[in-house]
Amino acid sequence: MLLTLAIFLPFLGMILILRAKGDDEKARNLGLVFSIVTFVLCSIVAYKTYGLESGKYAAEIDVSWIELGDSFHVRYHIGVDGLSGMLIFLTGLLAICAALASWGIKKNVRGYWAMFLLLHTGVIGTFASLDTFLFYMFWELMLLPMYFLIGIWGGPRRIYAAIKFFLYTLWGSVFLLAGILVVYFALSADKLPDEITAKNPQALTFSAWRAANPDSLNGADANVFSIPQVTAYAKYMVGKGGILAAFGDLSLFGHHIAWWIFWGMFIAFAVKVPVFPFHTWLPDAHVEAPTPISVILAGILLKLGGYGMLRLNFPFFPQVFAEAAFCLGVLGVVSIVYGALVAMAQTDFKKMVAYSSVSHMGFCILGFASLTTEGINGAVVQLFNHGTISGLLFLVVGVLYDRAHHRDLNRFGGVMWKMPVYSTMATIAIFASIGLPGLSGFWGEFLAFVGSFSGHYHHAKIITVIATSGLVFTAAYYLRAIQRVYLGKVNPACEDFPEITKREKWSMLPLLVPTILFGVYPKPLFDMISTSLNTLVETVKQTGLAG
Amino acid sequence: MLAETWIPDLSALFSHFMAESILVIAIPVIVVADLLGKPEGRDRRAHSVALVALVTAFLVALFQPTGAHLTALLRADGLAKIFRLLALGTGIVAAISALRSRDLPRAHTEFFVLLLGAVLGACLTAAANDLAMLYLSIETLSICGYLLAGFKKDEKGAEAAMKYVLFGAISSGLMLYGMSLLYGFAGTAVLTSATGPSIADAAMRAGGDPLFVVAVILVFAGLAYKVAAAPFQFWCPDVYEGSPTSVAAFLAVASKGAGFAATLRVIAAISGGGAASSETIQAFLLIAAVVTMTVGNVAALRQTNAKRLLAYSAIAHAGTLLLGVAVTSEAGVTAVIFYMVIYLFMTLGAFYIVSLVENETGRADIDSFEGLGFRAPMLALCMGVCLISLTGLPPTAGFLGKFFLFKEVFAYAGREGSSLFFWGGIIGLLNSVVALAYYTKFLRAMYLCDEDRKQGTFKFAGVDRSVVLALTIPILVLGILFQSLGLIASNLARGLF
Repeated sequence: MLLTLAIFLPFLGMILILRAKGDDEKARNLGLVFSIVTFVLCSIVAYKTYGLESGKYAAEIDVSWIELGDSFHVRYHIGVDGLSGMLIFLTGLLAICAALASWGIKKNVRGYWAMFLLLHTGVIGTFASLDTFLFYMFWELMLLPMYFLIGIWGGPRRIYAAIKFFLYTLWGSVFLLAGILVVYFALSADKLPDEITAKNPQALTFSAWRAANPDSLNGADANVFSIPQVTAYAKYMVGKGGILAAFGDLSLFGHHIAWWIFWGMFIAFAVKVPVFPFHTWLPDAHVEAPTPISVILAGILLKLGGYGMLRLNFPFFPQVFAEAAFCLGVLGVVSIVYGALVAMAQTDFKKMVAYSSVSHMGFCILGFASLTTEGINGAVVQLFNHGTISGLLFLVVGVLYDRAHHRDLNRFGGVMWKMPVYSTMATIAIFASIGLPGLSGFWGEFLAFVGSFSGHYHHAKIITVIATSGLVFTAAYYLRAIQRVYLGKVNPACEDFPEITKREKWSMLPLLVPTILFGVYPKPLFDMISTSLNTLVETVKQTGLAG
Repeated sequence: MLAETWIPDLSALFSHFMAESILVIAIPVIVVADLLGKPEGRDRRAHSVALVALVTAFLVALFQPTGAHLTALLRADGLAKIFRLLALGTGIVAAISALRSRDLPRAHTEFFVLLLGAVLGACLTAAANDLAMLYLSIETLSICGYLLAGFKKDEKGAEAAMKYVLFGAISSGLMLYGMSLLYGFAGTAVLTSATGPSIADAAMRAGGDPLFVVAVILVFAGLAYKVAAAPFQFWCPDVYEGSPTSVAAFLAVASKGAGFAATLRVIAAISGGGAASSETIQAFLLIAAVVTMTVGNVAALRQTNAKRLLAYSAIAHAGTLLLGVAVTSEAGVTAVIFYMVIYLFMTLGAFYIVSLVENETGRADIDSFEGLGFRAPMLALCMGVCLISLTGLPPTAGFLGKFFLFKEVFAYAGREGSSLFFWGGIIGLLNSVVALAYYTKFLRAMYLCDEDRKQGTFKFAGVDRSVVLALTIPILVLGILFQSLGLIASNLARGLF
């Protein structure tokens, strides 16, 4: 019930705001109140995931939604484990910060807050879904509010950026839908082809497997849309033909259909992450989006990509995942190095931060590719920490932009002397993003490297070494930014910058606290996620490709 | 079940075709009322009679029994029922829209007579089980359609009607030729029959005979013209642009629906028993479907006129529906029916709002939608819902329509190990990305415009508001609660194969 409330409370808020005719102040207050209540609910839900056993979910609800025929049973099945709980907590946290940062929005205020809250319904719903159909519905529900938020309240090239974001993401989602449909068909097959059963006598169809293991998974009926069930079945079918065994040896252009579906789903999530070469929408969207929307975009929407991989892509196709480790590693390292190099060439502060996101999300992919416990845990911690740090950095840029009305790194200087509190916060955020030990950005990168170095694919060590060069580039562009903006002689244009307001400070503090706290003491994060990632790690081990 | 005869039990026949009978009676009533009454109120009188007839027929058709095989000529099964309801529903909306729209300076008596005639043709097309009957009903629909298309009586209207006639004549000719070949194979024009000889039997006997395949494809050529599938889609944009918006909406939904009903009936007859030719025909249909939707979507990208854009979108949707037809299974027909019902709401909703904007601004360009989101928030919101549904995004019903269709396409690909269907499905899904690119032109105009376009009000009557809401609310409701529609669709599709 709590989780359902967390999902649909923002939606209720949207309706209330739309009804508050002509009263902008009321809309703002309502928006903030609903963000805070949502954050409280999200925190409670996230807290409940502590100490959960592997494969169990907190706040789980599983009720019938639509039943058509024998196999089409869509259920309203939601629940959180450590992984989704952590990201839902992050969503709530960023919702408050973004809400506080939205006070400057003066244009069509009611519409803005309505879309803002609808976006959160989509995001929290996606994280909470344990049914592929429901997942897809929430996944797509996010697109429309984001389109409007960028398109109406964005910068000069907002229309281009909005449509580019929309088209890019939908293009990826199409493959996700195809994947869901193919999995649905394969699992509802009543018989496996002879070539599969001859090779693997233990291979079972999905319904036969459910019948043979009636007590697992809380004894729920066989349901081809259920994410926990398909995950468990995929684990069982490792080495026995995989979940698409019903397709037999069906190959297209020399690759088995499971290969196609894995990479198709990967594209869907890679666009969101974004992984090179699917990242080109990101700088445009970030630069044009208003500050709070950039915060949400970088802090939450990018995490959905990584989350989708961990929830659907990798557990459904562990074999292909393990075989693809090398390609993933290469994609990760290219994202890291390329993102960092491009960020170095930027003079626009916001664009630089945007490209640094590409670079930092590359660490997640590198961690996944390692197939090791350390690597995957590091990647997931990186998801959370990048969420807080990049959110913070976009707020930092936003504060500066509100005063200077430009973001050109070369036209600042000496801000530190004019705005000491703000500059201290900004510097902490930047050092966290560089990955300084003691701040939260360090742990994800460090573990991703540790895991990646012991990865079992070809040239894992060389790839890791190349990836570490990304750290040097990151330090280079960030330190240069600090030097140009905050240090040095006071630029005459910055002479009359007022110190940050209370509201601005409060929008940054909720993100600054975890940045420092989890930098010194990251244990709560690891405790939260490690059990829910165990299943994936074990499954991958079974393939025999992860050592 | 009654024995199938040429001269059936008339009272039973009447009870199964009461809706059509009401239309048949209403047509002379309009004409007589026109002659007898005072000249001032002619239009309104004709309009009232037509609307009453359509609504009565719709309600009657809702409760009309199904399942009986009354005559070899006509079927009163689920397929006939649902497509009859679609035609009548479209007729109602078109009739309401026609009287209120400015592009028909005077909604003439003739207009409503022709509209009723076209609806009657569409109803009978959906029920026809005999090639001759099929041809006659399609021509009834088409000839009324030609006249309706040219009703604006300006240059564009004349061009529209002329194009529609010429293309119609060519494809009718091809279809008739195909029908004559089929008759040659079967010795009868009856599609399926429980007792006597039928084309379904002939399909079994013919095996993979190429001539038989050619005959079937020729018949499909005629039907492809009705549903606006490639390569018979060329008339579509010009006709939609030149004809009154209410007529364009009718052509986009009722006429297309009738075409699909006939296509389904023909394909069910020739592949029902697993005839050898059916695989070739399926492959042909699949390729036609993929080409149609790609052509429609890509061409729509460059349109600036709302009606032309919707015409290309209608072509694209014909392609999507053809995918479901190509699967040729009961589940496939279920998906097509499901999609068609949703398509009715979203397309009629979009056309209705276009006609309102056209009434207000006098133009049907996408530019004329600028700022609508601020001048008429409710209307723009409804338009947005229709467009999102047409694109096929959740949480609207359009997504479910696509979901069920593509589910069947991939299921077929898996079952038969057909990579053709697999790639067909992928290309079909990718098409929705292209579709998004042009549907968002409306969203962009309505919401993402310059400040100065957001001023002013936009007037429309309470009736319009009700019609628009009645068309868009189901899109949202069916997007979440689609179980009953799914069950109804699968009941209606039962027994076709």
